[in-house]
Amino acid sequence: MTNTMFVSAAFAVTWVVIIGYALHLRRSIQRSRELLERSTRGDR
Amino acid sequence: MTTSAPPIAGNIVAPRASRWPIFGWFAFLFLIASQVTAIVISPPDRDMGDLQKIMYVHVPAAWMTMLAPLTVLVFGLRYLWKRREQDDLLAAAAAEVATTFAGLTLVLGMIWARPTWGVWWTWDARLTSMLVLFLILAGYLALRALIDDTERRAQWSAVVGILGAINVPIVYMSVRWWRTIHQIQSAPSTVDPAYVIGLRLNAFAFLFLMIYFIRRRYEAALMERAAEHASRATALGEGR
Repeated sequence: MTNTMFVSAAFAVTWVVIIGYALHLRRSIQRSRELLERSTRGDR
Repeated sequence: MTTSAPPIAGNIVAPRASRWPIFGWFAFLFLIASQVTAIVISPPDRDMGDLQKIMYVHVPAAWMTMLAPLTVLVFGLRYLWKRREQDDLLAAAAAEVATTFAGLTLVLGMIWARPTWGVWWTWDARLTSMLVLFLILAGYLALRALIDDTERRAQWSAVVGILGAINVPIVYMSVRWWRTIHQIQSAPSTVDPAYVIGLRLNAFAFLFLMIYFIRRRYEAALMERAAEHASRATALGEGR
């Protein structure tokens, strides 16, 4: 592997983790919001 | 959320619609600009060549890994003192983000170690102490998943959070306290001026991202807890 491949891999891993975590957060917020709306309406 | 008055359950107030998503986009764009700037303006290192550019992601990730557990410590201690649920939730949000950055730091370190040291991993003091920090943070999250009682979970989490934070200065000083193959701490004073601007820009970009991630995770946790309180109140009302 060349140096460029290691550098590219490092930046790629960084973006995969950042975007992956941002998407995980987005899903968590949506799920929590739905849960809250259901529970404040008194649904089960 | 579009409601003007946020739902209240127990002593938890679910967050209103906020400007945090805009801050999130700013952080992402700032990170892209910082990375491009750093890559374009920094010359190849005399010894490492282009491998030096890994510094712009590895070092800021490592700094956030040490900063986030301090947030866990502050809010964990505050929970033990004031017993406010919000402090526990904020500490937990910071712990999750710290675990993510710790994992990223370890993987980036391995990618850098292979071409420079010839191995993916070695039981060096810096690497080992960082791995211990990652495991403590992962343990913190596992503990929260295992304990149902919210008060007991918050207390134990605060204790584990303190343990994790105690490890932070050990990670930081490990390169001076023990003989290691890891270089000494990267800071503007230890880095060639040609690389300082890139490092500073990326450090701020990671800081903005970390703040955004913690805040949004905290918002999700607040809504989840408010929902739990509301469900419990409804169940109690029906039981009467």
